[in-house]
Amino acid sequence: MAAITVDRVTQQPSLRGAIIAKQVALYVALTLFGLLMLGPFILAIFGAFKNTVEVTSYPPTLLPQVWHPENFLDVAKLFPSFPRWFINSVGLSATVTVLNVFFCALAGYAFARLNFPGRTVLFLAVLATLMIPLQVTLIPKFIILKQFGLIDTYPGVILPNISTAAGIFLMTQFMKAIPHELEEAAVIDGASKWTVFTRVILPLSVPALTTLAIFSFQGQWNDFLWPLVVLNNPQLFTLPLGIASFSSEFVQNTNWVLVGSIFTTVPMVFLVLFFQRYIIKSVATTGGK
Amino acid sequence: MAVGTSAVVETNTALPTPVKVGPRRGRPWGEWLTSYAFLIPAIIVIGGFTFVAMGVALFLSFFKYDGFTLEWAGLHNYAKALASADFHRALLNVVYYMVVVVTCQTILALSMALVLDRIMVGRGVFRTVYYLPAITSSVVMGLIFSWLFSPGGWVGSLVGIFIPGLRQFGWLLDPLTALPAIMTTTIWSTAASFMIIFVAGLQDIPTHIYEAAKIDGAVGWRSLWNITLPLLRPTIFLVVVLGTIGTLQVFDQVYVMTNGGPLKSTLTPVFLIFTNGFRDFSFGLGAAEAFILFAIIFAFTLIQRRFIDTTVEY
Repeated sequence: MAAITVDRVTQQPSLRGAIIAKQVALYVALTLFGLLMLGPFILAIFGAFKNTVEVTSYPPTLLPQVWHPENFLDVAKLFPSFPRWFINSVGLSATVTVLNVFFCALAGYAFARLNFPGRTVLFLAVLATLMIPLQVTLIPKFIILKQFGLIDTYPGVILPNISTAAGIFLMTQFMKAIPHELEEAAVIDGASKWTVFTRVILPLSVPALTTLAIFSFQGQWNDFLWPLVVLNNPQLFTLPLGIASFSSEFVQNTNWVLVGSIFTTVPMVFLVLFFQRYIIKSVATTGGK
Repeated sequence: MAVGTSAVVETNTALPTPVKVGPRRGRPWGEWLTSYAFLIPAIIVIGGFTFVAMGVALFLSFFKYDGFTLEWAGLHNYAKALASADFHRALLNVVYYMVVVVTCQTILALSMALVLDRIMVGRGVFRTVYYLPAITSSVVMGLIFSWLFSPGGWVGSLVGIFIPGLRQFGWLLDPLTALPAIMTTTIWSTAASFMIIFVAGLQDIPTHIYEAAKIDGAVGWRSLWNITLPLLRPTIFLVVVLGTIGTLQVFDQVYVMTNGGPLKSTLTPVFLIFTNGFRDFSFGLGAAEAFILFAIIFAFTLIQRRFIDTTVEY
């Protein structure tokens, strides 16, 4: 019925014209909005190639009058810690991602497929933590880690982030849906729970594991407040911490700040381009973050 | 009921009762031990850094603590926080920030999703482009926008085309415009991820409802107003709640762009808690402020739940 209506509409030339005009208008709107979204990035990329004077001169120029690609090397030369910050960011994000995904998967498996006293209470307790805002635990987390001598260390940054309520929830929901027959076959063959987990459940959970890995990596890479609280030694800084510190030190050199910003953003852009299917799907279903 | 090995108490939760798999080889405590072993990392991390931490925070909020000496303070910290002009200012600022940001980003995200939902090809490309700001570090965003909002920067120059007096205006240096500048930065970076949630919500609305409405003569705005928006209510609720929680915790942009100034016009509660705790070392006061803010966020969520009816009947 509906198909017939649509066919009839598109066969009338004037209506077809109206539909095309409407589509064109929609694309124009989307493109303008796209420019607005990308504009700051484009300006920042051009700005990173300008010299210190031109980048803050009035009126602002779109393209650099003289291109200064050496800015990208100068940053590493003038701030010997810069490559170190990059490595710190990669290392911390990778560690947090691996541990968080593994521990959430373990917990998710227990909640979804094992039977033990206190299961419901523990699961509800995990879910309840989703409602607790970060600023409530900010000061006590610092004080707890201080008691263990972990302030200004990598473990201090890593530890609070290696099991997250959202991750456990995601894993539990996903693993609940895996058919029991697959597990049964393994158990009949005499497999232990650990073998079932590593050989049956984990391989079947790859989509959920990937989603959680992407969000963990992105979250850790961009995290600012917690590393800011824990780390004092500039050698241990992550990229956001590093560029924030040198931007307040070198207010005059916006071009270098923009170079640092590009180094911080590019890895995330690649992450999105490679994994966009997973990201879009999971933002849509979980609300992201 | 006999307490047999397979007796399971059914409770009303989201968790399923795991089906007993295969012949049971050991006693149930074998499975219990395995379960707890699997849960140990999560229990330590979440228990320690959330539940124990909450207890520590509550404890600290009744003490004067500078990291070395602990001194009983009773309700002094709460009284001090509630009486403090800075705390009032921070609360007012963040409510202003929250109302503007949540309203603008929700409307913007919804309009873009509605447009995106109607085009025939290239949806994926636009979606990816729009998503880039959402994955950018808030520090980077703050630094780029600080530069754009600087005197003689791009924002001033573009606005200056229409209002020449504002060409060299320092947006982040004026108490009236500093917070709106931060709002703009946030809206720019978060609207896209909410748009994606809306796109998914729109796809969940069954097409036969639109078709039925079309037969009844509801097209265009009427179909949007009478069908799409009411059926999208749960998604709108989700976006508003996520937005509220996120905006009430704003910190990174403030730290990078204005440091709470000028004249405390961009002071926010999390920034104040950070300052009290980690610059002035008044951990007790910071903890008390955190609990007051927690109570406010909780109340807001409940109020929103009252006002936005999320039940939908098809």
